[in-house]
Amino acid sequence: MTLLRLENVVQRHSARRGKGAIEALRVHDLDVKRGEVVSVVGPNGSGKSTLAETLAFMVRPSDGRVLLDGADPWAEGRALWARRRCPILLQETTLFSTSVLNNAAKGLRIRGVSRSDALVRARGALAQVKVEHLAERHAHQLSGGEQRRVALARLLALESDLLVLDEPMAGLDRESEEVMAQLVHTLHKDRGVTLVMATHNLRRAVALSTRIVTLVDGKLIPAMLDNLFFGFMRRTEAGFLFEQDGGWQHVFARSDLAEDRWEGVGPLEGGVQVGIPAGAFRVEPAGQGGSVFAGTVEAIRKERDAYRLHVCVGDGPVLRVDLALHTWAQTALTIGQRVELTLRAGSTLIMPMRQAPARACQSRGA
Amino acid sequence: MTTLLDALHNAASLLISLDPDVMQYALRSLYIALVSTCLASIIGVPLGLVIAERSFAGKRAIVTVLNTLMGLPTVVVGLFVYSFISRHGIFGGLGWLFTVRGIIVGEVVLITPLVTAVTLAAVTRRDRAVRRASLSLGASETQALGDVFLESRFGILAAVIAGYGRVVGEVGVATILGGNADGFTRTLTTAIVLDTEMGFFARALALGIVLLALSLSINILFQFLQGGGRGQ
Repeated sequence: MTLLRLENVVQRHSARRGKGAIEALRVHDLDVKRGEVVSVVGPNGSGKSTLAETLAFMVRPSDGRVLLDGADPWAEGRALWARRRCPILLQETTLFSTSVLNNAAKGLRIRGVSRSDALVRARGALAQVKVEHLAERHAHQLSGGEQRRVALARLLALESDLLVLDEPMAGLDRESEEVMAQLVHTLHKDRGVTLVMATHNLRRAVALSTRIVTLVDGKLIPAMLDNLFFGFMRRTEAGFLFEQDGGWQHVFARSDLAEDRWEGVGPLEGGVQVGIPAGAFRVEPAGQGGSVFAGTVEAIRKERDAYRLHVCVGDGPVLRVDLALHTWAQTALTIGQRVELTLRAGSTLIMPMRQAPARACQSRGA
Repeated sequence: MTTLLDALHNAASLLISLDPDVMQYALRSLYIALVSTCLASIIGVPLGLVIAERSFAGKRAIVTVLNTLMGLPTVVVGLFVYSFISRHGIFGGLGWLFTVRGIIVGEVVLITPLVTAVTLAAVTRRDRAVRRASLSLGASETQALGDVFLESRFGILAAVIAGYGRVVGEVGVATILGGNADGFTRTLTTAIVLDTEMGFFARALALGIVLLALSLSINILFQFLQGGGRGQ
């Protein structure tokens, strides 16, 4: 059942000095179903935060509709009601200058919950993010990671069935990141909370989400890009060497790359995004001319028309792999099994970090 | 040096004996300063909040005007208000010229831009972040504005202190609009000017010490109130 829906939503920001408007977001159609964990991934400046804040009714769309449970709160003058249904963890952490406990209770107090009840629920929320021992401290005495956890506790205290998290793990130390990830997992699995998460942490997104949508320059790019990586590409004798920030490397063969499937996009060097559709893999012996990923099957889930595998590639990423039902019948894979994946020819998209400006196309035409 | 020591001695005597004139000027000055500061705060603080919160055409121009008015010469304000409340002015019928009310009106006109501008500066530092944090938790616009006020409370208090500080030591408005009438509109500052001109240096010095004490005591009170802001 669809909980949130974006229909032809456009967000424009006014440019400096009144020179027109900049289009930050254009989404024709996006559904968030009850119980889903939807991750919105994309490079910096791609519009993830704008999308998250639009979904949380923080900003009214310039055009289009944002529907919650089928209703259009902006049109019906019920934006406050909608905002209370969809609390959001903002990318920047702002705590109020009071105690940690009062901060955690803030959302409840806004909703008119009595102080005593709010404080009890706030303590519970602080315990969930493992900072209950800081309850009496002043909020501004906390470290950045602790502040982030308290900001999340403010949302948890609300016990909402829908949460929007904007870069929940950005700038966190390993421990805080682990707490945050565990909590997202628990909220979804145990409490059935619907989550929308804007993140550039793809490894986490793949591990925690039921669905990933990719945003580039304010537009959703085809949902087939279930595997999207950011890093640096350079041409070598062996092919195109891709290096991720985390150290993972992979050499893509020339035949892997889809030069003609994206206008103005092709193999290039420097900062790139690499997108591999989940349906682009074949589980078969290596040596077919394409590059090979060797890994272990971590999870298997049956979808409507395919089996979705999570394959952990050594110390690299977790790849999402879709196997058609008839292919699955031939392979009969099990969790923990070692597999080798090859890419279908022309399946991999290499995109610049930022889409090339329109000016380049015009000069080519001239 | 001897003159100064003598003056200090005489000042101490006047203060210890609670000289009725000195007490009368001190109380009147305190009354004018507190009432003016309250009125200017009632106008200036919400105005500063609204200007900080809202985006509208001409906002930059208003901020520039406010910053300019902060340094307005007191005698100019005195003359300006005089033109309104003198017998031939628009509000001449009220009969406020050469009254404490007249002085208060002048002081309010003098410090309202100051209170507004300092409030605006204090709120602008954090208003966007606080407002967004409030809204993200489900606050209405009014609740978010309330949070912005609470989060900026120490900066706003500083605006009030600045306003009080300007009024309590002010002489131009008090002289032009009050007339320095003994027993009616004479304040500590106008009395100091008069006593110095007439050669009563000890009395003038005593009044100066009382003026400093008034300033200090109110500032200590404000400091105490601001104590909670240390964590900010």
